[in-house]
Amino acid sequence: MLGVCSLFVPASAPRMINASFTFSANSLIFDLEDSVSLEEKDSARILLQEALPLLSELTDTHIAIRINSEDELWQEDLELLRTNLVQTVVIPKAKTNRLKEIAAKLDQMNIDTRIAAIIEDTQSLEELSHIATATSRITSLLLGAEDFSFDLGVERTMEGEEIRYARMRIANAAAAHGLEALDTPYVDTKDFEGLAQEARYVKGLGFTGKLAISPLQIEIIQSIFNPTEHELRWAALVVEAANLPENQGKGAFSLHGKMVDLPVIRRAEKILARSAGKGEQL
Amino acid sequence: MKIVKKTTAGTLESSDCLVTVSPANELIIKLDSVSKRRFKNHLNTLIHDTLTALQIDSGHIEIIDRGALDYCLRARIITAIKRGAEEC
Repeated sequence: MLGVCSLFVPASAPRMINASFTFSANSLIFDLEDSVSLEEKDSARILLQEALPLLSELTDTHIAIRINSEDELWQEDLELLRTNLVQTVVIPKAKTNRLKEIAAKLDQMNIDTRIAAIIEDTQSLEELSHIATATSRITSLLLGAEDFSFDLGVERTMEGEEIRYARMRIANAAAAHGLEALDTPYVDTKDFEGLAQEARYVKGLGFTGKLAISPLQIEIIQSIFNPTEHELRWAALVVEAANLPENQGKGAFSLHGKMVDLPVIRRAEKILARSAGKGEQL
Repeated sequence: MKIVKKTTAGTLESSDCLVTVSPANELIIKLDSVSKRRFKNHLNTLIHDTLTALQIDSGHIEIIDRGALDYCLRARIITAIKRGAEEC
């Protein structure tokens, strides 16, 4: 699982790689795709190959790589997984058939790396349920709004009306299939209030976290997606009350005048589990 | 492997290094490093070990180091060699 905040780190930049282990993101996604020019793909792959052993020594943060989508590149990128130091491989422009192909390749390599699928075009959104179930390796659905808006043929705006439908569908599909859903990065890295507002909004839609492109975004995202003190107190009370002998076997009971039934108990348990797992989703 | 053409890898940015390799009849290594005064022996060993692992025994190797960590130096040498060398 990528957790509530996953930070993109360009795999071609030693300075960023060196600093990455000091960041408190729940996961780090070393990017071999968009942030690396075509001429530097080989260089970035080798740099990451050499950096991974050091990174895994210095941090216990979940490590992911975003591979390329082009045929001649993604297969070479996957070779990095042979280091056994990458927990999740992030697939851009995810399609059902490509995910199955990659899962088969990972089976062949005898590697148990998980898969996160980025939904960034209209076709992917149409086949979302198939993507979510393409392989049991899938843990996460991610929204890539820049490419998605381009494919939809509309302008990408800060208001995000053009991706509202995509967000709702991704959050719903993730919940339906027990996956985590991470929202697209907030591209203005200096606008912290805008980031907080957007993070609160997508949390309300059902997203479990958000991608980050700057270390300065991590704390804000985590503060919004991690359970609040109030939520934790409420959840603890509900679970405690549910375990009382007088409430056992009841379909529903009352707590401080409010009805508590199974969905409420499950939500409370989920909040406690998420807190205990520091962002890991149930 | 044998270096058959001039190639480069890396940058002159901080924490990185720029490695240039070109054909030569013998092995010539030129290192310009901000860390050379303190880590000269370590850097020399790292460079030689990396070249040995790649089976490179001739060529002109020029490295301008801007404070690269070991993994970065190794990666840039490997990249430059792979770009400019052929299997013997």
